[in-house]
Amino acid sequence: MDFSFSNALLLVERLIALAVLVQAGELLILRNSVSNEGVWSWEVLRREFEIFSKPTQRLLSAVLAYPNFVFLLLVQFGSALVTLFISHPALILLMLVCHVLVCLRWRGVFNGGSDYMTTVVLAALLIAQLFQGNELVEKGCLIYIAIQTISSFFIAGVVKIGRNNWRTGAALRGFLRSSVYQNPAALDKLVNRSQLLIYASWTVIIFELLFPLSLLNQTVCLAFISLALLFHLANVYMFGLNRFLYAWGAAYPALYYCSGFVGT
Amino acid sequence: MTANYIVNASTLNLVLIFALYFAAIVFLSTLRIKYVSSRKVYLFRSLFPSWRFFEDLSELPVLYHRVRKGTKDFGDWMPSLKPLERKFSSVLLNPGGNRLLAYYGLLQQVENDMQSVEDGAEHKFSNSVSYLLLERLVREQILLSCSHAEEKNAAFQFKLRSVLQGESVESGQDILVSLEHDL
Repeated sequence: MDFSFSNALLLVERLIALAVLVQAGELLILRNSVSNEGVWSWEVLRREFEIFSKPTQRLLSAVLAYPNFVFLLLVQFGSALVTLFISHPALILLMLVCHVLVCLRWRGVFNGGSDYMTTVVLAALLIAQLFQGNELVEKGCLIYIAIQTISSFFIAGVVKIGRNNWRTGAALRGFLRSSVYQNPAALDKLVNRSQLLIYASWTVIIFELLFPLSLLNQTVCLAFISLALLFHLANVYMFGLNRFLYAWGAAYPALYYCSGFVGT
Repeated sequence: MTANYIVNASTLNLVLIFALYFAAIVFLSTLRIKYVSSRKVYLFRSLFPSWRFFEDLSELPVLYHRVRKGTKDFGDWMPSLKPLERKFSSVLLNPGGNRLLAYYGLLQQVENDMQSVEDGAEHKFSNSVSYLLLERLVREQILLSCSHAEEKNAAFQFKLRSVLQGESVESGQDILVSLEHDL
């Protein structure tokens, strides 16, 4: 299969559509949380938006109040579903606008890192679609996604290696113990083994710091992507971060394509 | 799977520009920006990626509540948010887990907002958006766990205890004790 930049863009587009589909689907299931009786009632939240001008507040109220917000989620879900089969800049724009509005409704972000990566990928895709046929811009968009992906690992590694409690395994123990999930007894036993925690911590730190090497060539890149997918699955199991798997999964075709530049 | 590349001068320039960009974002990310003072920027932070995942252990707020039925005294403090059981299906779809993560995000936000309350204005905090959301969260959790017959003439109170991640809740300290609220 010829993995040209247009194929890479198409794969990124299909995979981010899948990520947005999951995100919108989950929020549709949780729609009671944003109803007038729910925790995140717009009647309470609207005060937070009084920092904006009156026309902006009216516009936001029209979109983010219940039940209109559910309609916004349906639009997001629908545009993602169609994007799984059809490419069009309007669909990417719709997904991006809906995503930013959804984040706004949750006071900035709903799920942290996965929201950031979704924004990065959708924004880059939108520019690539708007400049369709301009090879330089389209490649630039792929490089942008690849650099943000590498940064997401490398920066996380840099900040960890500077922390003594990460180097000693204490930080990893703390994070594992404060998971939102019940830890089975076997996992609790593992968490109490200091030597194992030190190995695990250093494995994470080294993997994150070495991630820029994924650009060396496509074989190395595939190895890093495989390890990264295992890393995401571990994070789903430990911390419930399933959205990270989808958002980063959408960015990896861009990384794979760009890994060819250095090797060429 | 193989890739066909034609690396011309303009593509090479593009790669160099992005290499500089990478160096810049790594450098910027090492600067410690403690608090974003602009609320507008804070609300639109999904547009400004931050990749400092699991950087350091922090004080994690833990939520408790207690209920008073009729004219009786308040009961014991109970944890408001219970840990979930893991499911294989959560890889595909995890609404419950993500809602719980959002609840913890709210607790964190309450703690951050409390730190920005000016001295002497603490009484106003009970009218803040964060406090009101927290009140709704506790009410929802209590209603989920009790029958309608128990709701009549009931009141509740909640508190936030700050605990270092991974440490026992007993080692923490209370940072917020709410007013009494009707159920």
